[in-house]
Amino acid sequence: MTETVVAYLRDAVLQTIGITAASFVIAIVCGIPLGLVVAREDAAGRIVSAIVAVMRAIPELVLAIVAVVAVGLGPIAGIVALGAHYTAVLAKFTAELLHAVRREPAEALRATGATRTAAYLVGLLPAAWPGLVGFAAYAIESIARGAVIVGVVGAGGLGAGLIQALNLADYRTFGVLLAVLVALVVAVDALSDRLRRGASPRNVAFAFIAIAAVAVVSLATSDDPPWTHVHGIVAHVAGFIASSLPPDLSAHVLTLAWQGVLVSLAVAVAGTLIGIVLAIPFALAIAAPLARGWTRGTGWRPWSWLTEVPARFVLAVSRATPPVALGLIGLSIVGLGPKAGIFALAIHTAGVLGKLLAESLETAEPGPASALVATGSTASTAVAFALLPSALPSLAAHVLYRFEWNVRASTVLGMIGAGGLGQALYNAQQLLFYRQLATYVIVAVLLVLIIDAAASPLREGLRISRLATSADEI
Amino acid sequence: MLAYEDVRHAYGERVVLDGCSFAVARAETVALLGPSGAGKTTLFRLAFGAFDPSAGRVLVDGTDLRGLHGAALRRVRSRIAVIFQAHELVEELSVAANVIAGTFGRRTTFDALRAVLRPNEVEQRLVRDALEHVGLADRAADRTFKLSGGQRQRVAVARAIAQRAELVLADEPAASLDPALAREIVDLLLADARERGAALVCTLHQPELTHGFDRVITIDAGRVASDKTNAA
Repeated sequence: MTETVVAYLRDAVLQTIGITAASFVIAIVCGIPLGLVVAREDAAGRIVSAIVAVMRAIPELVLAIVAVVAVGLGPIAGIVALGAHYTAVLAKFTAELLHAVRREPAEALRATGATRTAAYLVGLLPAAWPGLVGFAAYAIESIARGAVIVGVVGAGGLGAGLIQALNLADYRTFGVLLAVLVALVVAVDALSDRLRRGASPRNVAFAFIAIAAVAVVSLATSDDPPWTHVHGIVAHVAGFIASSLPPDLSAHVLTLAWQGVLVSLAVAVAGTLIGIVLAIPFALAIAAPLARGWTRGTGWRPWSWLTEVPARFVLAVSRATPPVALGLIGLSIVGLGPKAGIFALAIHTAGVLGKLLAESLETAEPGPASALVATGSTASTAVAFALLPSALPSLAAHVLYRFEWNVRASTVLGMIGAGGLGQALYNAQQLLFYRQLATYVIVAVLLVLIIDAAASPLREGLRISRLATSADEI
Repeated sequence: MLAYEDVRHAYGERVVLDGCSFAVARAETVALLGPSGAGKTTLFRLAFGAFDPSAGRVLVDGTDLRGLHGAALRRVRSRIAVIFQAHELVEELSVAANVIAGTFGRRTTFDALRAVLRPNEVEQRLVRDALEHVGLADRAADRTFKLSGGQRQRVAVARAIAQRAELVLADEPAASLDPALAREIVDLLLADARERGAALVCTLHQPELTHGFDRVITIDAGRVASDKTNAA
């Protein structure tokens, strides 16, 4: 590796870490209070809730593309996009969490005359705490994934180098960048996993302060500190808004948008289905019902480290690689067009669903399975009739959420050349057709909102609280 | 101490209290009997101003609770300890923290948090005394979710004791406990009330547990069906 590549890499990694940390701090500081407002369910709560729903519906990369146009190239655009998106995600989660947690202990404290704040902090927060910390940990993982890819559209960080290397057909640099990127995501995952496990309030507070410090230091020491750009941004934003209104609703543009929607949906459906099929053998290889002992005597050994370790590794890598990076690989394998998008979503979906499927099998109540085995049934019968039925509802919910997630991701993949709505969006931005850009953003938001609304009766039918799976949702 | 004057209350169409009147004097112990759905729990919720009755008045020490809110309502509430049927303890916190929570009515938000996180000598003694009273002194540091149903009930009693309230309301404190344990809890409540000269109102299912109370009031269909001074 040449010195320039190393220097570039150092800067890009610092910037990516800075974007991650800064976006996370913004999301926590703004998202949780907004969630409290949404949870109040009064007029203000409903208004904030509607804004949050729309913000969540805009895919990160679409937000990033808009942010790049609005505030200019560089990490600030990435921070604005990710900060805004995850503020909305955290607000929604906080509101749902407060809904799910029992309020009676807090009300009991109110009955003794405690102040409202004291009653909520002592009576409600302890019950909500594990959920909140767990979700914040998931959020930082997702933000890290987002931060490495927002560069693809010019919002700073590793993604910019990735796309540049690909354009120059410099596959060695591409490979190095990809490896660094995956390592970064895996490192953040490990960190968040630790946070989730040993989450005493003191540790969490310490971690949060550390992340805030990292945000400042890494952005300040990078070549291109974002605050040097802040002046003039306001005028720029105003100019952008003026030039993108009203949205272009001509028949030509709407036809393009509709065609884009169909392609994006097709990519999402195909990617999800292939991902499920790929996930199953890996999940079975790493699920460890044997560890619980109930398969003893059935003659079935569902796993050994020979299959388990490689399977875990493959799933971890495919999960840790952002779909956009997978899409870039897909482009170089199958060429431009929807196939690259399907490739990316199938691999990523397999990674996520494989892990969730394995977890569902591992955490499913083993009692019924042992009972069947005790009556002499085979292990496979026990899996089919005792384990799967109890794991199925949560699995179905995971698949549903993955599909919704993939609809959003397929729009994003279009931006790197995998066809669909994203492609139209990216072209409009590159050609400075901001009124067209506005139309495509609105269509992308509507698409996600409609899919979300269509899935919600299904979710209710599955009797799965949105909370149970929303960690997976982001 | 506590007076209901011709109280009526309905949840939508369903009338729960239909002209209920009685009063509890200072330091008096009263057992409220009646079938489930007779309106006993609603009477309790009215006593600490969870909501206003549809009609009639609820007076705590002469103060009408209707329309009371903010600091004024908090002041009244701090004088009433409530033991909820489902305990309503904060499961994730320690037993000691749950007991100290009984004193929140006299504390600002900041002071309440400090008392939970860094209790001073006086507060530690308060917790120790209350837990000794209910026989759980050795469990102060345990998380509450580790306790059995009977132990939780006793923590709820300890929280009420720590509140040093002038009126203790206990909603079915003996429900879901075996008979010996039920008697033990009721005796704890009676002993605490006697010791401090506090009034006690206790809803019960089983008539045999009313032994030891000054008065037994039976509620049926939302009104007082009988009101007897206990001979025993």
